[in-house]
Amino acid sequence: MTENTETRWLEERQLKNVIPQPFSGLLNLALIVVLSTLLFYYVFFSPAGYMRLYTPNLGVALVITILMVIHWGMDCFDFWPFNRRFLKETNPLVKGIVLLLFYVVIALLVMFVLYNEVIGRLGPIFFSGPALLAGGGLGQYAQTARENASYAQIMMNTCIIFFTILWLTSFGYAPWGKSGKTTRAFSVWIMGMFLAVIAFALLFYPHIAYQFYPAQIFMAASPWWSDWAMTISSMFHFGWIVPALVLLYWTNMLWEGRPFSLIGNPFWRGVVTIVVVVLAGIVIMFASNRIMDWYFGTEAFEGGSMAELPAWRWNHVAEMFMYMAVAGAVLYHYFDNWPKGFSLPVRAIIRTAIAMAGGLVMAWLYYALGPVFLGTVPGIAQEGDTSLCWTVMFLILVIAHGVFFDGFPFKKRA
Amino acid sequence: MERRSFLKGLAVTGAAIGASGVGPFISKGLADRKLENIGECKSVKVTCVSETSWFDSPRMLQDIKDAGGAMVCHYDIPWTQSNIGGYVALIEVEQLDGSKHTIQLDTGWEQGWTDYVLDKSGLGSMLDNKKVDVLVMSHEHEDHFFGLKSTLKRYPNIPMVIPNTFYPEGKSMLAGKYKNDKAKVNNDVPHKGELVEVGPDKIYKMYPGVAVKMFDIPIMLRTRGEQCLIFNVKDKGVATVTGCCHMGLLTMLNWAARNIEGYKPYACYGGLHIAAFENWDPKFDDIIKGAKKMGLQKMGCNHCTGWIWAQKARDMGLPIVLGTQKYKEYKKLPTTGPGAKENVYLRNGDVMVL
Repeated sequence: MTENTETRWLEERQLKNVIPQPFSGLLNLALIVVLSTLLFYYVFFSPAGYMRLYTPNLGVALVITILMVIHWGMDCFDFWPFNRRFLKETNPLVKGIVLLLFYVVIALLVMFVLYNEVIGRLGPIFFSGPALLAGGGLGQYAQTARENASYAQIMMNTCIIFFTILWLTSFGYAPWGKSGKTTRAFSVWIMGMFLAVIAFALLFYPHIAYQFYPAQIFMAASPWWSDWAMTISSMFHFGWIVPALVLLYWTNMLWEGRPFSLIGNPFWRGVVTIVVVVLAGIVIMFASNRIMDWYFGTEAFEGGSMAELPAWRWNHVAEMFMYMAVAGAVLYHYFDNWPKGFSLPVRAIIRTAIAMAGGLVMAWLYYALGPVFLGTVPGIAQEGDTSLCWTVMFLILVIAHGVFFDGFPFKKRA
Repeated sequence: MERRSFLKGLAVTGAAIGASGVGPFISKGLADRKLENIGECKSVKVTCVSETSWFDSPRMLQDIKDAGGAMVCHYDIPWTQSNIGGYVALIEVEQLDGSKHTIQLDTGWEQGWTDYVLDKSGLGSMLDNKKVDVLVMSHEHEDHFFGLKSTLKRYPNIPMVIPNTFYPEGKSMLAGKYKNDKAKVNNDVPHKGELVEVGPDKIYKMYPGVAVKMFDIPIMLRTRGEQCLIFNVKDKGVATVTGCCHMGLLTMLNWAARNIEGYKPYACYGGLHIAAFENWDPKFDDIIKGAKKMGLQKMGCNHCTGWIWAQKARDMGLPIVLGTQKYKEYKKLPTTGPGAKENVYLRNGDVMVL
């Protein structure tokens, strides 16, 4: 990180459409849909494909880890160690492949070396499938050990993504704004992880202690949320963190930083952003559950299964909002964040409506076409199944396409 | 919390939904649903022909992991043949007028083991003599269905009730035209009897007090749909018999409470698909807490219920029925259970009278 360039690369970079909109956006979208579903998903994840990483938790952990590393590189480190010249002058196809591979390799190192072989072997064993398996004991068998470890990784990495983006959205690089790029990047990176570890300890760790038999009662408190959540599963927290994260995405992309950027004082802006986003996430989760009561015609209840399983309901909130996050990202990266006219509140409302409607359409398509293209079983609420593997993978590809590949071939740098 | 009250109300009233305390919590559409009168029977006797679908859980899970995990199609997994058995139950129903009906639930898995348990239980000779009234397939999973040939070679005309969600491979099995060297499953004996395919929208009433309810649900290993048997036993209440119960014990009972006229919780038998591979998840604690509010008087569980769940449930006060030592007379024993302080499973050879 030797350059002293203050403007972030994504703020400096300008793209233009090779062909007029909406064709540029539609063609790029079609390209990524074909690539994601027919190539990437089939090769890496599909239960009928080659690598079959959608086990399901292993696949979900993998895509969430990749997303986390991309956020680190893109948002914290402003693409360091790649210099501005590389970002400006390299052929977008070459640059995209190099950047994507770079972040994927780091994600693999995080997952299979850091979690599996270092943290899991030397510290909290529940992060490592191989370590759980090697330890033996009741229930620690090949499939369950890997899935349980992947679950812990998914929750930890989701916390890291959330708190990193939350810090950047609420405080920016404060209080390290006047430091060099290296200092402030590493500071926010470490702060995101620090907050995530605390959140994980409070929100997810009790679940981990109770996923063993017998429950590890001296390791963690009994899950304290069960009266509100109707379950002791920590999916309850996943159900509000993901919508809250999506609100942060929308704040940065669809709402152009508003409404939080209206608060001038950085400290109060930060505090208000954190409180509002977290509360909004919780409200969204409970409101979504009521919508599901109406849609499925039945309530979730303690001990229920399928659509009546509270843990599934909370996870499904996360799933639905991830569809909407993807739709928002498509609007932002492929359709130039349309519309550009109107006042900011009006265009923010229009963009949000498009993201929500687009997310619902995407969800409908996933469940309707998934059995044909993704190897899923018709219906929803399958035990252990989640659409997050496909949606997060799709989000990664949209971000990578728009950011790393400069929207090639139907966009190019201006 | 109000949802806890909802469950409590469900167990206590167990009666007409409109008159119960759960009304306010159920959407209008469901509250208006017409209750099903399935009649009454006098008694039900369930014999566990075989509940050991696999003998060693770690080996079973290794097969699943090696093939690519829980989302891989069960027809696409090279199962370790020495580890597999199968699930079959024999149900004898006595009607109020003294007449009897015999129902076979599921057809096992590995041919050698399935033939062995059919013969040992006497069900084999009943099939040979066409003394079984109907074969009900709970679902298409390998351990409940792949042993189909053992039944059809004895009684190809047996009337059969299946979920209407079988995949093409399952349909080929029924047609006697399926051979798969990877999963090592085959059947060349076509089913020639009446075939009833049950969908999720309508309950199938077989005999007075006996009905089949199908749940159209996605299930691991690329399977869709499971159905259970529901019995309304006079003066006792509603009992369920399940293969795996992928729809969930409480979801199934919740459905029965909301849809069966005169519902009164009584008993359950079969796999409950909870700690299926002796692994734990916090959700399983929820099921124990929820089940305690359901008011069942007898719970006979085995197969994919999970020994550790059954034990914990019994320790927490659920009416888990203990099994006998009969299963030790079988030629092969599961690795889970022997040496435990109690036999919390109804194992091979055990009988439960409802």
